[in-house]
Amino acid sequence: MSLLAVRDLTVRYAGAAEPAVRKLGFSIEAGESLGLVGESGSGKTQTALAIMGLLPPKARMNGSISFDGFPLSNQPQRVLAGFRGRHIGMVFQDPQQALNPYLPVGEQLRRVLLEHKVAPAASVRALAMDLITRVRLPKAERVYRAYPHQLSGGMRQRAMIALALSCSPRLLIADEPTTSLDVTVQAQVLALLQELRADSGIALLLITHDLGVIAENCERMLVIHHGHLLEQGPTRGVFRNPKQQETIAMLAAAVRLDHPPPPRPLPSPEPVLRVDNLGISYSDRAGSPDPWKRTPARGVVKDVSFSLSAAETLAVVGESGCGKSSLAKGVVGLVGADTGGVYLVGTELAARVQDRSAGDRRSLQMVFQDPIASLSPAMTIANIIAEPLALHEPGLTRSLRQERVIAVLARVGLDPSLLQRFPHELSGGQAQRVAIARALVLDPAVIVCDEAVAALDGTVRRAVLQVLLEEQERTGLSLVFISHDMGVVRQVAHRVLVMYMGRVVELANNEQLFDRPRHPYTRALIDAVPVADPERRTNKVGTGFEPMGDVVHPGSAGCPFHPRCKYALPVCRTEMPGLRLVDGVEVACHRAEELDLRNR
Amino acid sequence: MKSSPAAVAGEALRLASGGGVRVPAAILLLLVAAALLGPLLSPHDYFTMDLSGRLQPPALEGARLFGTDDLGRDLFVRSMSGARVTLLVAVVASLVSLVIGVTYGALAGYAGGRIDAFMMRMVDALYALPFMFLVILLMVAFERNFLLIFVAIGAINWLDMARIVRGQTLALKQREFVSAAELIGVTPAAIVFRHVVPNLLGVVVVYMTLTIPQAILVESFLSFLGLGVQEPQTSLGALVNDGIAQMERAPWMLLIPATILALVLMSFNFLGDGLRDVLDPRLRER
Repeated sequence: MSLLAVRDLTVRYAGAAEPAVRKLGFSIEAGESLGLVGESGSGKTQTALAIMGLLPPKARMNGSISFDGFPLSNQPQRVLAGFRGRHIGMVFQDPQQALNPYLPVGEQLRRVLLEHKVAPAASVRALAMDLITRVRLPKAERVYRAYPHQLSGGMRQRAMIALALSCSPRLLIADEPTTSLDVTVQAQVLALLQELRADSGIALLLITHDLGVIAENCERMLVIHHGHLLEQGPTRGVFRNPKQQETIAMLAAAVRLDHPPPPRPLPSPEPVLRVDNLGISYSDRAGSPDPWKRTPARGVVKDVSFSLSAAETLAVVGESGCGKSSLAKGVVGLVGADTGGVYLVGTELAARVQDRSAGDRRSLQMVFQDPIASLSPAMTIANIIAEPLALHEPGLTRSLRQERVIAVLARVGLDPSLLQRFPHELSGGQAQRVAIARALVLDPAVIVCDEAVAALDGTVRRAVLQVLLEEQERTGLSLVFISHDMGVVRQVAHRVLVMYMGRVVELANNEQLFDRPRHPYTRALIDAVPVADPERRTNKVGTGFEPMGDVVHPGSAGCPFHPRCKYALPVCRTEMPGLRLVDGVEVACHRAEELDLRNR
Repeated sequence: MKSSPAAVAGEALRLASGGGVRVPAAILLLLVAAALLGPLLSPHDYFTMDLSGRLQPPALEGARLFGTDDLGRDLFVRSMSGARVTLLVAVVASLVSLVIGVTYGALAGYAGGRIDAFMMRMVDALYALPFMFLVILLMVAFERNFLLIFVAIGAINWLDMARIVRGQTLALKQREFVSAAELIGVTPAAIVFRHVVPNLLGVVVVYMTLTIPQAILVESFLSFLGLGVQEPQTSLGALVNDGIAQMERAPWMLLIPATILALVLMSFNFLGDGLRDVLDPRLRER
């Protein structure tokens, strides 16, 4: 008998034209790991919620779900509440929201254990400590007393896993457990899930949009699309010969870092933007122990220099908190730099955008991460795109302006029928195209994209990237592409700048960087990305690479990366490596010449 | 840029098909129409005393719909002209507080830093003044007139409005659309009025529908103290005050103006709730 059997599951929301899930049937055997993959809106999360009995009241569910022979569908909430946690554990996408911010982690564990009467009250604490150790959280005693906000994202997710495991369930449902985490942290969390499975024989239902995660972690997989089951089977089989058109398209679109990037037109040698020794620091009153004084300045970008040619794409990568977004804001002038300068075609720009000339502002535009938030909610699309024109070309007549707006809308692939809509009426992809249109309408020389596609999924992401690349080809636009996603970087970048704790650690061509990284940090970033090929599973546990936030960083002395670096020498602890040229690659590592970090 | 408050409000009314706005709006419109037209249709006026017909109960006979007061004045006409005064005071006072409060709050919030701190400490200082006392002094020092009531009530209300708008602005200016506007070179003043203020409208409208009843009550209180509207002119507050004195002999003198006052206050409150739902662009389709 299967551990979990789902038959003809249909979930329909009151008032929705189409059911969110239709006639879905699958089963999970004890100890198995099953991957459920699909784009957002395909019904993945609804399936998980249906299994847990957590669907909102507006949703109507049909079909049957049984766990180890025990029917779960149509049970009263009272019965399901006893079942949840006890037999099926769940890990959500955002641990920040899934953990109670007002209770220490240990207390949350203790309450679950007591609620389900797993152990006598006297031994609950010991059991909770044991759980914390099992999910490989360092300094269990400290974590036990820590509030969720005191932990890093990866630690929080591990605490969440500890909670889900607290009653030794036989099935763990993980809904996009690593989507909000950095790749390096993702690798750690996924490795942990694998280890737990090996140790305790728990079955895993892993829900994700990332085929790489499935390929590396699941024995069997289901592909769902618009609530339909497209196909299911062993992971290797589905990857080797997918049967459905949609699956083939999904697999073809999965980015492989070990495959060469698509050919791109070369940039012209003519330099457009130069950034010289840029330094940015923040200090603020909030968080300062003395309310009358600001906290000491905290450098977030240190001594960063690069140049950008016409029609070139420079990607900036690094983990969250490495200063890449601050660098983007410093370049466009939303944040004033403390030191260094930004030069546009040879002339130095004022530090803050308010002090820059209209022409300079016009040439340097930005596209933000959250497409909806970057459009004013009370303005129509027509007004949003026309606003920059009205400011920079006040002489235009109303009808000429309207023509320009429609033209730029066509360039980003949107229909003029959207002009009178408001931003909340658009999908994420459409909104991001509008944001790009607003930047393009001024014919800028450079657009800084700060995680511009991070909030979009698969096909939409590719389409939006395509818009940017086509513009680059047509107009010679240069792009600074801030991203944490190595796959996207591999696809679009001519050159890649790797940042670590505010500094540049490597700056190289796309090919050089991915084929032969020179800095151990770059290597670690590349290794952490799951490979969408079940034949090539890599063992990430042995990389000896601790995620950021778990390591204590040294003061000024030494290489900032050395506590996490498995190649560190004594000199790395005492002396900061400067950026130097090694085989045409700028790299800041004492051992850049001798280390061979090529792909194995 | 057609996102002026008027355009948004107009659109909101057009889209308000749910009924949450319609009912209170209809009641208010009816009251306004009655207040404007009622006195014209009645054969009586609000100031002529008829000492032989004092304290008559409501009757169709002689067109004394609401009866007469203790001086024999027609209560229907007095109620309607009192409602005129009350509504006028409420709306004008609220508009005064809206204009000052929104501008002040949005500028302080957007400017931030020292300017914000200074502007908000000014508000704190003004809060510390006993305003009712100040209003009374104003009323005593200057000739009592309508204008002064508007100014006095508006001057009280804008402080709250400024605080609320400033808080919202602080949150809004962190949003990326404000950064995007800075990047294309929109001037700070234009950012405040084109990007920040339209997005505050939901909150502002709701707050305004709360300040209107507040203004009505302040006006009633001033009239109660004898500092508001002067006889023979009247307002709903003054009528209620008169009614209390005659409560035992002529209960209609209290009940009728009190009912109208309650209708006005409740209509504004419900209108606020309804408008908040309609004005929030994210709730608009539902």
